[in-house]
Amino acid sequence: MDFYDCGDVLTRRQALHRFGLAAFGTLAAPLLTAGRDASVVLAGAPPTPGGTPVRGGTLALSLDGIPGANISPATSGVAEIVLGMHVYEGLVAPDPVTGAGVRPVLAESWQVSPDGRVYTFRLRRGVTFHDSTPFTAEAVELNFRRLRDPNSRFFFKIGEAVSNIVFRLTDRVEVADDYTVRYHMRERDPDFIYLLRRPQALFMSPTVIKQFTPDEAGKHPVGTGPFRLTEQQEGTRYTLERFSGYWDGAPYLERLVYRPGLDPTASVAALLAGELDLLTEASYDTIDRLKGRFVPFEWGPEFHWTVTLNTRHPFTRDVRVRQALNYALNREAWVQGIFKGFAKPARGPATTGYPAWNPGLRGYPYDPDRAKALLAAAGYESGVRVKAMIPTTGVPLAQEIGQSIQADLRKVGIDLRYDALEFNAYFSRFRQGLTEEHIFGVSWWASDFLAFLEQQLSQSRWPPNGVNRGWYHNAEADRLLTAGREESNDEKRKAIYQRAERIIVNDAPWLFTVYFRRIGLKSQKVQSIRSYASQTPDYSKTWLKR
Amino acid sequence: MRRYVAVRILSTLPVLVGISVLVFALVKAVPGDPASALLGPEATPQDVAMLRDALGLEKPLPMQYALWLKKALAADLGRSIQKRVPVTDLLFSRLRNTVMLTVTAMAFALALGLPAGVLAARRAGSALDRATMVVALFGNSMPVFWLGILLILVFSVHLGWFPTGGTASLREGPSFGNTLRHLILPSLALGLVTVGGLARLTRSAMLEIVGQDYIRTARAKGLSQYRTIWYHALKNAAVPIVTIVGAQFGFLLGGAVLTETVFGWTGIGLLIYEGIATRDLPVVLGGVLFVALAFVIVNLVTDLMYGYLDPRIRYG
Repeated sequence: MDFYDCGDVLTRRQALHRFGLAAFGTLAAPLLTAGRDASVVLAGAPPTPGGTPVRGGTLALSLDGIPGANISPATSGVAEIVLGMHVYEGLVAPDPVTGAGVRPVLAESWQVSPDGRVYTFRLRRGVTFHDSTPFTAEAVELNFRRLRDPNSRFFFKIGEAVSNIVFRLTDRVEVADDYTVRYHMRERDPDFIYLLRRPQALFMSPTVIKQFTPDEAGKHPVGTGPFRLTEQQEGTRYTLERFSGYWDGAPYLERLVYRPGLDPTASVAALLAGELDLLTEASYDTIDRLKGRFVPFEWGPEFHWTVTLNTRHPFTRDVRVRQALNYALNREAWVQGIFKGFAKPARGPATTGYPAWNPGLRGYPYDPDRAKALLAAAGYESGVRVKAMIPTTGVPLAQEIGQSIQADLRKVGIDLRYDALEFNAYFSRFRQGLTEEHIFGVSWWASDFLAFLEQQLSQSRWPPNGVNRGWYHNAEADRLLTAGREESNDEKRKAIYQRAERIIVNDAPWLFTVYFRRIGLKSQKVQSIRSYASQTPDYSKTWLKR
Repeated sequence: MRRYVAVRILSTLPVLVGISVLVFALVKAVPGDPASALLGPEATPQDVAMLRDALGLEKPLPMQYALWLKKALAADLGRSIQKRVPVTDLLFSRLRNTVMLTVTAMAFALALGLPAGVLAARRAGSALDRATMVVALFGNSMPVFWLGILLILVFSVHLGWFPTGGTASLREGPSFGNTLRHLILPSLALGLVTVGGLARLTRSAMLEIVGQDYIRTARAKGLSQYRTIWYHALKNAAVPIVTIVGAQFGFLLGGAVLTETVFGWTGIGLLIYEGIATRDLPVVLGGVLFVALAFVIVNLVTDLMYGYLDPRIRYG
């Protein structure tokens, strides 16, 4: 599971984004160079023919927010994670091109026991941490104890809570030999391997864990990753130098330098002025305007911009109403108008990167007449006034998509109003599940692991145990989702989930909106950017064209 | 005088405690909490409860406040929940940037606002006066983020004279020149929005003074226009000007959030803003108390300056 975690700083960024970028767009238009049309580049795509990687150079980047001093795997601030992803590594990571799936990193291979409760990993040999400590099974076990064992003297209580999302079902880690470890699960979890891609499952040096107190260890970021964090000037700059002993070949770049705290407007200006080499995220308007001068690149997994309908609300309790709302959405218009073509209309809850993706799924094409007929059948022929909740900041494009939903629903007679809340306040409420006050809440999810449907839509995941915040329940779907978890054959699992998905799509517990990936802008000289687990692209193979 | 200063400083203590109670209550009253902010949207209510417990947020509110106050009285403002570092460290690391920005912005404001106000007063009613006041009003009304973006666009992106933001260049090592280049645009933006008010106030104070008998006397005894205005009139007009400068100075120390955000200038205003967004109570409390203290000190200095400017004012 991989969620686009926005945290504190996006709140500020997006607050400014609203008026700042609008102002910038108006002012900058005559000054920006319109040039040749460049197509989007996929992260991890091979270098252009004839391009030979060159060693050296500094990649100047903007850091979203201002990190604290604790850059450890057990932090959850966006800025800290971005820095930590270059320093630390885990057993596995996603595919460098699609940003989905699983590839081995510090594990060479793994096996799952037939009952799905023991994961055995063979570790990569010859890997060392930045402080020359060898990476062995002891490091894996010690890192686990630091986060999960209250009896250990290395136990970091905050880390336990932060890593709960990964290790909720993990009982213990057993060292079989120096290069073999076993994760024992309390119950069967066929998708545990996907969770190990997350920042909380990366490894810090055992020497650091032993040398410092649990709270202080994070201030000494030592991992096995391609870059070492060598300079932290609070609020000014953060420098990562190439780790020459990196097991997968030292990076081509000499260093990465991050400037923290720039809002989106200032970041775009800094890119235009040549002070930055790339932006990991930019507004679709900016990308559209600058794509001749800079190269857009997609990275990370595909997300579904999710609208969770409240199946307990008197209005959206009726399946005909939920279907009508889905028929009323003009997704193609959003893709062109809001996303400038960099998105796809959604056809179901899971994105095209879902391992059990069903290409035959039709979803809900735009059909306002059918929407009106369904609403009339449900007794809402003369229209209705309802409320939904939406964040003012922190969810990308919340305002634009929120307004588009409003406009589309108005055409079928629904007068939709929003309770707009600040990001933190919004999620504090939405996390508890929707109340009868609102017909929906919004968020966005990646779905590149099989248990996604169960995680999102089974009754067992109603709050407070999970994120089924619209209280969706269908007994047959639940039965299939449970059967899917119990099935060990992947192909059979996929078939089961596809059956469950058809039921879910028919029940329409969400508004299926659009699938999109994160998209950045880079200067022409930056080559070979790969996808990483979350929050940042991977620059371990990046080089600068001279 | 010493007694006066000591009493003034001691009298700020209850004010600071009062502010801390208010800020504590306000941050706690706002929906959302630091555990929720730390874990992000994917976490379940169970995860949030676990982290709240780990952070000590499950303790009763009065107890949380009492624990904080006890430490604060020993000059320990606690640790940032989000950043896991002492709040005093964060404040000190940002203090340099905030002071630099404020002082330079005020220098810009004084260098432009005072002469403009004096000039307008000397030519009261003329086209020059009206033009100066229109420009001043324009500057006063201009939103600082808009002005900041405009300055970045023209002087950084188009002309390439100054960096677009940040406090130092990423491609060269830290140096005084490096910092200075980054300081000019944000302090200009901040200074320009202060110029308007300062020019208008200087003008009205000067107009009131130049009609006084002693100015007429100064002119009658043959003093030059320059000496009359700059030595006699301006010094007497200085009391209200110093008052507004003092108030502005205190405001700028903590209130330059938008300028700091637009230019990525990491100061205390931005720190408080980050703290509010993540409900990082120790950071908000520490930051606000710092700003309150700065206000008190600047006001005290302003009061003491009255005595210098007007010998009739004495403190006992």
